[in-house]
Amino acid sequence: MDRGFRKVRRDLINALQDGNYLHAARGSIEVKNLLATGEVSAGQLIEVIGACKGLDHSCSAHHSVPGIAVHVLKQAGWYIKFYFIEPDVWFISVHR
Amino acid sequence: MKLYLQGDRGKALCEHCQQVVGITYLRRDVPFSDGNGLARDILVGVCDQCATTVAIPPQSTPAIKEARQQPLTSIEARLPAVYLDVLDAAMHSVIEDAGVQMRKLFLSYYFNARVAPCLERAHSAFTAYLAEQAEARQLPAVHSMKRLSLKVNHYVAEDLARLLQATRMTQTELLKSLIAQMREDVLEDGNPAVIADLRQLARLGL
Repeated sequence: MDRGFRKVRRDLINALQDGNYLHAARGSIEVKNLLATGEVSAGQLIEVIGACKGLDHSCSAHHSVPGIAVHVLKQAGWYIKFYFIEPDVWFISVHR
Repeated sequence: MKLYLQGDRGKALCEHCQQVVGITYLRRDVPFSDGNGLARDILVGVCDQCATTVAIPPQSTPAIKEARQQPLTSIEARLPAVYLDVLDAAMHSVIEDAGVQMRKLFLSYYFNARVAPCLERAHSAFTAYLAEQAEARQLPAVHSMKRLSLKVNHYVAEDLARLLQATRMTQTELLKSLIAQMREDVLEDGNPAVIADLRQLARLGL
């Protein structure tokens, strides 16, 4: 959709390294977001993302805001769901 | 890392308003999505239109992590070994796969059951039964003790505290009485409703 896998992976890793990320919420703290709950660190997540290949990535338009592309990475049991609202990455789910 | 301050502004996708909205960072108590507890007074981004919490910055994660790790309460008691045999036999009768890790589940069920008025009678009946059996079988007095050790969450700890207050028993007496009640419900008279509850719990807990 809005960007290819390699750019998504690079932008995602850069955002995690620079601290340019936030966690999406719907009135509560999503327990399936292990990065938000501190059960996984940004460094650990970068390792998982770094091991992702193009086939691990999928992307679709957000159900209510079609202009936002929602990305999913599935790698070695990990499920990482996020989108970009520049300049930040927004995490919806990070779990395994 | 970007450090957000109370009163900072930004933008986020609000699922309630179904659009990108302006947000303001402020401090709130925010519950966990599974309903278990909340993180108090953490910095979050709030939708300017509907006031829903829509953003959580990484700087709030340490407080969230601490709130998530609710301490477990330890329940320890030394009981005559026969009580633990009865507890384990009752568990095994309800579900054959039961192991000692299921003691917590069974006792927790009874902490919350409305059994307080029956406990003294159930315990007296059990001690009388033990005495009769020892006499009839001419068994020597035994003093074998075993340790019961449970770690429970705050909900179960609160149930136990309430039951202790209602019965005015010591913790050890209460545990012995609950096991005597369990013997009646599961091994003797057979209380089908309790057995069904325990079986369902045990299946979930396996």
